[in-house]
Amino acid sequence: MSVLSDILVSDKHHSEAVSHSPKAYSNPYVTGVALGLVLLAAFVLVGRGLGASGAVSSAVATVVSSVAPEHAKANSFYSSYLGGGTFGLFKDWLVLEVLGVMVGGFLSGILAHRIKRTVEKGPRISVRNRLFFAFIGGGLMGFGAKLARGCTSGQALTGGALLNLGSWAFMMMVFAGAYATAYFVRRLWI
Amino acid sequence: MNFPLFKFGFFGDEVSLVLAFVIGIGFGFALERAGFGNARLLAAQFYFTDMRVLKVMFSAIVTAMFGVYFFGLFGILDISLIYTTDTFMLPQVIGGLILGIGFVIGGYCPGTSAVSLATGRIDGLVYFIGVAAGVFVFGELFPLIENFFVSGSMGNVSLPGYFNLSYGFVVFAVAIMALGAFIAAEWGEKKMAKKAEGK
Amino acid sequence: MKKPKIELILAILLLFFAVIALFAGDPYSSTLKINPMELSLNSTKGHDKVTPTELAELLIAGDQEYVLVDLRAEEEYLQYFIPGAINISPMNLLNSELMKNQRIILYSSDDLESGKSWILLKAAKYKDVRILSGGLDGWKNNVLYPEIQALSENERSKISQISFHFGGQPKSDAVGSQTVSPDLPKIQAPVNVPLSKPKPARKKREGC
Repeated sequence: MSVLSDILVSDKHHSEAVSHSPKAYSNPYVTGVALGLVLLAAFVLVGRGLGASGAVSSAVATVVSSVAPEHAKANSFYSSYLGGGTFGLFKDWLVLEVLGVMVGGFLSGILAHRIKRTVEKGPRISVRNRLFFAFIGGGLMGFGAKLARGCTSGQALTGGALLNLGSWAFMMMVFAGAYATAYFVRRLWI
Repeated sequence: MNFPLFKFGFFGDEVSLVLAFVIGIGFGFALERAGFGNARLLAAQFYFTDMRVLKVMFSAIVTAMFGVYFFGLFGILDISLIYTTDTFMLPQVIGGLILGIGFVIGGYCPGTSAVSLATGRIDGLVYFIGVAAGVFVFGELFPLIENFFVSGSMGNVSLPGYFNLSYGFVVFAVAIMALGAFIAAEWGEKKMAKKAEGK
Repeated sequence: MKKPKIELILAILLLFFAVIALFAGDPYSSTLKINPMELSLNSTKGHDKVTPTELAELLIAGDQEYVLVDLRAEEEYLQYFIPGAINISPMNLLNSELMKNQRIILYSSDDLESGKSWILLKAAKYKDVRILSGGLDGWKNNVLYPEIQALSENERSKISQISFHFGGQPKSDAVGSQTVSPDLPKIQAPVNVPLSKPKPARKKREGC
């Protein structure tokens, strides 16, 4: 908890914001250390790291299984996320963790007056196109994360801190892929 | 004390699920504080104008890495009980590439899009739905790509194990590398800011 | 005095910890240390053994809290193994899927091989490791083909039931004069146990 108050304090340092206007974001290094301590807490308490795409996988597998149970059972990808039907979606560790992420993000957003219904995009692209590309990007992310057995949180953060070989190779490739593509999609952002 | 507590039976599944939620809140809070609910800030990483992604990510990795190392040194944490995925080199390399491309096109990763949609961003919501669609496509194609998915298995390998270095040395090397990256990032940001002013 | 920048403090901390790590060495090194006190305490208190009958009762009760490990060669394992046992060669013991917090019961043909492996696992800080006393020979003599003549009526039926449960046959007058030698190939896996390698319970994916 002291970690959280640290960040709250550091927030005040960085902006003498008039109330109700969004505050400046926190110092990235301090926030990074806080994030690292959350990750460490997950390690020492539960013996696992953080994740995000795994929760989506469990949700997708549950939906597929409720629509077409035979189809899901025959597919070893879905069935590995169904755990033999012995537990429900809300007994899944990562699902609860991601729900917590949403709550935590919302709380922080409220405290800093950053909750806003908006679309984040560069100045040169329409909202419709931005949303189209958000969907495409999300789709690539979902597919890539499953192929790599984890996303930025599960592989890069968690595996990175545990010095896992595959996670480091993965992390380098994420940056490589993103930097290689950045020039071609610059109209989206700048 | 024996850590991880859960693996030594200090509490059961229910408590671990409550912890999942609490840890998730901490995770989401930190991500939002870092500005990761905002796709423009995340994407700025790839145009060298704001290197937040690198700074936050490596600060977090180094912090947790130190924690694991020193807990291990004091003999109270058993790292072999912390779950990590096995290494499957080729699928992970290709998956990382695809994921990186998706990152810069969509502007988020799954965790940050959850924060983004929780703070009202429509693009974050659409992105999150996109991730689910991507997983669904992967699931439907899984029988076709299963062979590739399990190829190149190397078991559970760590950097110290693979390069035959001492764990302490790798911790040192990663930390110094991160410090170098931070210094380079600060320098690069200043340079980009000057360039923008000069326009 | 000007307050030092937080970045500078963090950078100094990082360097400090990094240099300690460089010299502090490896908490997970491959050299094993043996704690003689703990080992001898374990042996004197009998916390290191399971008798064949106790194991049989655990198996019948369906107790899933432990992992049963067969240390013999794969061919021997495939001919017969105690129901539920997984086959791990002593060479691969430390690289196997065994977890340090699991209850592990080891057996081999006799006590020697399992005893060596027991010390190895204890040195590697596995928390709860036991050996099946008497090994597979003990299992044959006490569970599959027990001598029951000298026992009371009650005991006799209990032991016989256990023996039948595992597809064995008590040695008694009824079976007659022909002695059942324990290493006859008569021993077969009970019908309800598949002879193929039992798969370890599928781990639920924990990752992202």
